[in-house]
Amino acid sequence: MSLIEIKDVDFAYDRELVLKNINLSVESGEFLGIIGPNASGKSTLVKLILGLLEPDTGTIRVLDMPVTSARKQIGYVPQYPTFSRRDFPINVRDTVMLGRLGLSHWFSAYSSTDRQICQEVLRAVEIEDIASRPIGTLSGGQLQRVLIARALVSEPEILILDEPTANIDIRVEEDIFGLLKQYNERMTILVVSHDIGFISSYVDRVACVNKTLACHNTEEISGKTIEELYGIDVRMIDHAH
Amino acid sequence: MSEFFSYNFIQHAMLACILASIGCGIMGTYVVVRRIGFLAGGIAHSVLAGMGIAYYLGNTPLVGAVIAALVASVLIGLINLKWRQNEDILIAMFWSVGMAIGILFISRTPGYNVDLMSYLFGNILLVSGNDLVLMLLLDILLFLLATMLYRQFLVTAFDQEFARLRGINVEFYYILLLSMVALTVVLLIQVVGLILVLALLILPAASATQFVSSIKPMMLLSVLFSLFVTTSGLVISYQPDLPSGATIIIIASFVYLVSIISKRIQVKLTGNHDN
Repeated sequence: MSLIEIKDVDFAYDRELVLKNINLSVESGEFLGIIGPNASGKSTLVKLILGLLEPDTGTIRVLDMPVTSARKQIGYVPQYPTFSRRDFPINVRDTVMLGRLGLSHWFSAYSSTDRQICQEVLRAVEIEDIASRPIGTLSGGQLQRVLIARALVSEPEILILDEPTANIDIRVEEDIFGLLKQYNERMTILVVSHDIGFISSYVDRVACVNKTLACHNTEEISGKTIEELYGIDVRMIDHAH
Repeated sequence: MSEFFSYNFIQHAMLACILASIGCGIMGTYVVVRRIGFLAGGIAHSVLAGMGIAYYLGNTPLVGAVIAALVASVLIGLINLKWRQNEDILIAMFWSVGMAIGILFISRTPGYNVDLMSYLFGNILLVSGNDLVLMLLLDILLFLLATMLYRQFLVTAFDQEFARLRGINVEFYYILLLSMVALTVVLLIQVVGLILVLALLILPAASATQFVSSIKPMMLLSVLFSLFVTTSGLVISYQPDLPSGATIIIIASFVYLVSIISKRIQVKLTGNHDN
């Protein structure tokens, strides 16, 4: 059984077809990159897997369950914070702790296990020192780490990140992908990116999305594949240092 | 001053201030962080419909107020969830139609003509022992719900998409929150009346946001601010025989202005934009 099984999925916003005939199976333990140009349907695909959108045709099953039942096993890091307001009165630790919701009893307080897991994740993501800062005072990179930590504390089987490093400088980007590589030993990871050159050194396989979907193993990726995907000549940039 | 506190009606009024402040601080905080002041205003004004109908039927107006507030909060919640595009129009309609229904029923009530002014602007000096018991029960209910479901209310106010992905029924908690706001409105009507209730719900909590950056301290500080505002308004209005509701609201807005200014000064002095 595959962890995520997408079969013959079409999706349209109003009349405009965004995804066509999508088939994808993700196996347990994979580190999958989802790449494609802007507005190619990458984020839509993620929202379908999370059950925030419903496919027009076809089926999606996660952990052999309907998507809405599998949600609690998925940690999701959105591209931009979906907070109601940036100046909401809440600090980093309390924000991260919210990731434990739905795992403990619904009306009791957080348990000591909840607190311990939270502390470990804050340390791993290197935001322990800003744990008591209000979220309105954080930089873009710090906020991105908070979102990742909030997804990690739920100890998900699957972690999905939508452009986690879009607004972050390259050094921090390497830190974050290094961290994800460590967590990949414990969980399956899907990461959306438009930067194919960079992620190819971390992921096992890439799913190229541009209305349709095609998968490639990382070593197969060449200028030709990228050209097909983006329709222009793209130079590969070697990120090895 | 000791003579002032020896009157039975003053003791009742003081107790009413304390009871109203508890609900006001807890729920006012959510109204402010969720920015649903306009919705709360709609609920407050449609309460007059329930009071008018109850009065016409010979029941206690306060019971009518509770029912109307709950009905209005569910309907306004559904409008917010389903007809977002026309939300402002529909709520403005609720706001005035609720009052219109109330006034029609009051005008049709035979016999002694009720003092409409005390519904609209409150009359804290007329709070009865029964009113105080009802206020206490409402406070207990609000406090229990707000503490037991604290995390659910927090996450739905903070990040709806995330709450939904964690398996939380966002729509349910939203309507429940509005119903609790409705009960708070009924609590506060005793003190300032339904026209001025919005200011008392919002201003103490808005003042508190200037000084704290997390929900629980904000609730505590809002309770203290509204306690200060209501009791001092009562004391100040008593001697010159001013309307107590109006005096309370003026003090509440004064506290808000002072809190904004002192925050500005604090930022200037320390150069600290964090808190």
